[in-house]
Amino acid sequence: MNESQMTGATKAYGLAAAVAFLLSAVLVVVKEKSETVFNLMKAVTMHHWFTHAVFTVLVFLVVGYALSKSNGGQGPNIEDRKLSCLVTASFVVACLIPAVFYGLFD
Amino acid sequence: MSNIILMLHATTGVLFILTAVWTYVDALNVTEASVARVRAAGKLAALLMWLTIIIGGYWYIYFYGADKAVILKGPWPVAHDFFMETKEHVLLFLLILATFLPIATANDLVKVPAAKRLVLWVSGLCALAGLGMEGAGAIISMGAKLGLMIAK
Repeated sequence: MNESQMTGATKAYGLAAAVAFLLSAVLVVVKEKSETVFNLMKAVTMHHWFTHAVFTVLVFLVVGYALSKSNGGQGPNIEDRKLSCLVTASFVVACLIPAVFYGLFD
Repeated sequence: MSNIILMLHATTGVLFILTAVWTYVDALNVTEASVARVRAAGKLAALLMWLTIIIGGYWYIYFYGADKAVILKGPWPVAHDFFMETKEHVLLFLLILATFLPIATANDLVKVPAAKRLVLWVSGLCALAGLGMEGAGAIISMGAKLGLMIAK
């Protein structure tokens, strides 16, 4: 049974932030390795970085909204104490992905 | 005009870091009397991060091309190849983290330890990542400066 004392929005948007960090970090590598993806991102908004920014924000907002409606509006079933770990770990891993990619492989 | 935009970007970035530190310190000793202030600080941090990325993004899209060419021809191409490339993407993660901060501060921070811990982690990461971004910005500026000195 979920005895969470946090708001549903906190759990939903916390999970959504983790998803947005990681998807956005993976997109860094994908667009740098695939000219097709890079050109497509440039074509969408005239600049690949702006498209990347819009993508990241939209993932956060859409996933967060969808998750906040789950469990009858209670948000996802995740233990309160695990949310800090999830947000922190996903942020650190996401930051390391472009740093390692541009530092070692590009 | 380009320089003013760039300085504005750095200024709102520093204010964001200070506000994230303020949120962290206030949340560390949060009471019923101070919880509203923690929430206000969280909202202000998110607003400053959005301002920082809008101003910086405008400069990056419309003005950075000339600086990039100078950096790549200068003695510190790593200022673009590593620092700028990494910075422009880590900032996107930081934007999401800062946007999440006011959502986290909306919880009962006085009675729910896990919520307080979440705010401490998020605001602490905002401050540390913000400092990293300022440092990267300084290296990028130095890369452009050295490139211009070589060009003379």
